[in-house]
Amino acid sequence: MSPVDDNPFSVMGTRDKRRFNFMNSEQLLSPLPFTDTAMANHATARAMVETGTRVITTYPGSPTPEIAEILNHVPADKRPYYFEYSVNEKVALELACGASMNGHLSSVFFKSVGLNVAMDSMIQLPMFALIGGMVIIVGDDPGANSSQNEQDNRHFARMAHMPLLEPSSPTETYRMYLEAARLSKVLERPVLLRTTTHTAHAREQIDFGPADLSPPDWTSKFSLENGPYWPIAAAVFPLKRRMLEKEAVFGEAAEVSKFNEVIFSTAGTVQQRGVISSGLPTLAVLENISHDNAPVDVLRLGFTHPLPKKKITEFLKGKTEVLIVEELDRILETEIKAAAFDARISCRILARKNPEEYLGELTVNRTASLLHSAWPTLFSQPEKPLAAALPARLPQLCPGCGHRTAFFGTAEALAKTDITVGDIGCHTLGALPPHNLGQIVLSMGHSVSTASGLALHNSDRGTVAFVGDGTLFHAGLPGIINAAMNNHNVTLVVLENGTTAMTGHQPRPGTGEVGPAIPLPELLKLLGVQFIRDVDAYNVKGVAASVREALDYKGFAVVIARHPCVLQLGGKQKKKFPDRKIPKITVDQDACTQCGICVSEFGCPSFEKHESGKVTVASDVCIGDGSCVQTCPSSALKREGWDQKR
Amino acid sequence: MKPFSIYLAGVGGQGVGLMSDVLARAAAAAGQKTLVSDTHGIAQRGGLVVSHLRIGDGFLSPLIAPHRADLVIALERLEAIRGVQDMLKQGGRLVYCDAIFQPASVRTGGAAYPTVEEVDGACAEKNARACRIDIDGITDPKMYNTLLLARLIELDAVPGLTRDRVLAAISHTLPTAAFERNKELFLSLLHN
Repeated sequence: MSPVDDNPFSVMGTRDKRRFNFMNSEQLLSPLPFTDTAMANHATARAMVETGTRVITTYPGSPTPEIAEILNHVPADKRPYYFEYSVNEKVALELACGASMNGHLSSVFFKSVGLNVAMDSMIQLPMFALIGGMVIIVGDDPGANSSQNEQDNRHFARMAHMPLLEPSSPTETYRMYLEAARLSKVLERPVLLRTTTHTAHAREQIDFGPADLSPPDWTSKFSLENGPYWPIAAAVFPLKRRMLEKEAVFGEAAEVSKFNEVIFSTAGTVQQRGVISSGLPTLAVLENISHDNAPVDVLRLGFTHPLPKKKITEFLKGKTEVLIVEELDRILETEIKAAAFDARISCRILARKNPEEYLGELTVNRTASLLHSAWPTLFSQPEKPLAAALPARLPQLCPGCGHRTAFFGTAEALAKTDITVGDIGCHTLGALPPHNLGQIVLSMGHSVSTASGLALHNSDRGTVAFVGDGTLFHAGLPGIINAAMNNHNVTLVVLENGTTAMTGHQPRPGTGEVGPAIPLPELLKLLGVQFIRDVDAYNVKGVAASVREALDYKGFAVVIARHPCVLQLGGKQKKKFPDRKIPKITVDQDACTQCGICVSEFGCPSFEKHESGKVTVASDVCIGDGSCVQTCPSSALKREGWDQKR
Repeated sequence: MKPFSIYLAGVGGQGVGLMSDVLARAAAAAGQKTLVSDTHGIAQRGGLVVSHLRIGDGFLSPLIAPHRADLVIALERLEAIRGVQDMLKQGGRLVYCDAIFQPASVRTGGAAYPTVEEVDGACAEKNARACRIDIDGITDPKMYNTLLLARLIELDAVPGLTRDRVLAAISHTLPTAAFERNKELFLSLLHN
């Protein structure tokens, strides 16, 4: 038995270039059913193909970008779907909506706060007949693992009267997409599929179904007969009435949905106690019940708006006590209590009480705490995590990142009283030590406008905003136009690395990678910016001089600090020149005064500080860029291939 | 097979996800049900990267509760001791590569980086077995995964993990040239 042939994972027997934690094109587009381990996000891409989803759009954002990686990996001429990285989530959603109005099943996906960007249009959708069907996927982030808040987007479903499905596992994610697509097509309304970070990134074996890969029908089916599509003033009301009627039909679907089921702790026995929960926390509940062998039934909810009130009240009627285990906001709790009140149910309903319990991710441990508080005789006290006396390991800019030298140079130009505003992207990391710049963040593209507000009647303190080039195109343009128009006394440092780096190097508009090249200095000039400087981000003195000049300038000034993303560049160069040797950077210990600037102020992760005070360069981390050399006041940093005078 | 939980930890870029994929595939080849959860996103820029791997029936959450991991595998010393403190069960086992990646808090903030003795101490507190892998002489940090896999097999640390299943899993996961290099090192380590 050959180990390779017997490998249950080599279902398709193909060798794609990217095989680690990936779903290759052959699997994604397989017409036949198959079983394999897949990440929930990858399974979602497969579900899109199986359902004949024809138009798929997105803006990258954790925890969803892996869906796009799989879809984008297929060569464009082999795709049975149209896929696009749109400029932002609003654009992505509108595109998917237009496609659905034209009769094509569409899907758009983005992270939790991406919904905020899309919301202006997204909230309109349930009023209209989206005849092709549309599945909207939002990736919430309880615990704010990689986001600027932990907003609970389940609220949005209520506000928009949009049906909501919440998976707890990769298998459920896959099955829920299939069902969401089906319901959405039948009822001609969008369905919201809301996942969370650790569900989206979990991996397990899934039984995938067949896919019909006959050539897509791109016939345009839009007709005003499916309208109205115009919701202004009084015209809102017939649309809203119809929307509420559709919502009620979705409610009937929820009552019979297999995604809402009772899991009995002992088959054939109805327990006195029960738990109601949804999403990933349900798995934590089930694990704790199993661990403590507790006689508690679970009503597992997956189709969660409209809530299946009949099913819930049935569950409550048979119990003396029911605990609602819920993560983030008190949505299930309040709706279930209201339903119980209306039905005059006497079952005691327990829920979270401690304000701390409304924060953060509901892990197995925290779930155990809730269960133990409710029923101390049934559930053991969870072990408390030990107080962490260990140094934290925060994310940091990559070795050789142009943002590092740009921040280092900007710091030279700033007075202690100057105010700096950051934005979202790899450059957000500038807020951490050692740079400590840009420690005000709201959302994508906010920095120039927040800085404009800080600069009003503020003549004695300089105001500097940072923004990345990806973020600039996503949301920064209106703020730039506003600052130029009103001549706000702000210095905007644009950190240009030519990509959307943090989320995985997706193309950003204007590099020429997708569509025409848009040179930033020319664009800014056209938008009315009067002061523009363009420097190599690696040139510390150049950046410092430009920022100084910009701060002195009375009015809106932009400094573009440009350097390609070295992580992306390194990957490309490795493929082109696989035998390329990385130039060595060393510390000349005779010249070094151990001032610590390289380690503590410049902060490249390649430097190692030893207990003796000696500093060395970790050659397996260093990429040999040499941008550190200029920062040493003793000229003790040496780069192979450069002469002493540098 | 009794359910088994493995907590993997390392620094962004060390290949924690790759290692977890190999172990999951090897377990699946043994006919085991596997559930894995990885860190993605911002943590990968030199931050902490972890993977929770659960093998066997009866589990439902993809995330291991604190102090319930049967095995902690780490590619770096600080993450080894952190994994032991936060995740390892009483009587569990730690297998780690003694690589050092100073976090910013140590480099610029003056925090103390743990010693090997402190790692041993943390294990002793949990009545756990510690297995340290010396990485001196290994020039390519991408080989750490292979060192760990060989040691795991020698120690019989993961139920059902065999040499052949690991080779099959690596062959699926790595491009051919890289696979050959790792296979060579892997087999040579097992024969020593």
